[in-house]
Amino acid sequence: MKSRIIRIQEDLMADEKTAAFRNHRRVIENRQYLVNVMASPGAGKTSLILALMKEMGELYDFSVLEGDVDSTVDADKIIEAGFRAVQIQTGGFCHLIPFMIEKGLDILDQEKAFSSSELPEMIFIENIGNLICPVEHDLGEMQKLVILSVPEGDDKPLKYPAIFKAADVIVLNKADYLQMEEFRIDEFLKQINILNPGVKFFSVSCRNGAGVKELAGYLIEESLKTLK
Amino acid sequence: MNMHELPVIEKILNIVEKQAKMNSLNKILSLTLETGALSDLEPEWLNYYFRKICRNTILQDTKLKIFRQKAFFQCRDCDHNWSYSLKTAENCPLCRGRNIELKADSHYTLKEIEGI
Repeated sequence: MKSRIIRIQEDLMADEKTAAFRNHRRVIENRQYLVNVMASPGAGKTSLILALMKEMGELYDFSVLEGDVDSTVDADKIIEAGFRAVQIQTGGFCHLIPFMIEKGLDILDQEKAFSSSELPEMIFIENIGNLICPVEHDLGEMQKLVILSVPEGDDKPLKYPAIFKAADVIVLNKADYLQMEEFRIDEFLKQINILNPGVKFFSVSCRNGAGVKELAGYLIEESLKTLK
Repeated sequence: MNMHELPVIEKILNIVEKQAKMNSLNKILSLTLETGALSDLEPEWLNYYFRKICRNTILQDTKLKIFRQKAFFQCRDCDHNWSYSLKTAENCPLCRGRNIELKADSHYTLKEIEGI
């Protein structure tokens, strides 16, 4: 009996993409602006999220969907600083997936029911510390914000092309280290330009606050375009 | 354990079972998958979990053909393209321009199945 070839041409990630799109539509309807923050462990995700929320203060209600393999260390930091956080523990999974975000958004919505605030919301997703896995898993966010810190080195973009290519915003953190380290900023920007021409780039220091205002301004501007 | 391959295998099973019914296939001889150059799918892991999950199903002895697209550079000035390597990320080999772009993505597509 002769075998037959059947052409399929189907995207195997379609279900996950549908779930991400569902999240995206839902947050737009609820006047929420979702930012997916990705970086290696220790690059400054929590610090940058805190610095941005403090900078933007009165304009938004802020929440953080905090993704970690284990513990509540980061969510505790956010709550201590006076902001809302939902801790998502993946128990070993190396990236967040749309379903986890959906559950996190459900919890935030329940809590919001008790608030009388009329302000729009900005929700930061702090993804698992990882430069590889998170990028293939769209969560429904409006911005993919990727952080690299100066001590990690200027050669990382071409070594981790997928995440730098997919980023909407690239933030170079720990800019206060630039004098001390051998970080060649022109080499870094050259690699970024090959992978992702036209990406928004910001150089910041969470420690001394440099550049945080500019990055915050950009996020505010972008969120106003979407939430209008 | 790498968790990335499991949802993909589940999806493949769903698609193939439906197609097998529609086309009256009793046995799937092979599956052709294509991944983008930036995809983190690993064929060895995919094979490993595939064999385990698809035991006693229509995909039990199916051969997996996995093709990964190759990343390449393209010159934005003269449109020339050349294969990717860290060494060739400087200039366009044709016009020596520095206005170059990496062309690569991370899709996973089930292209075709072969069955009887």
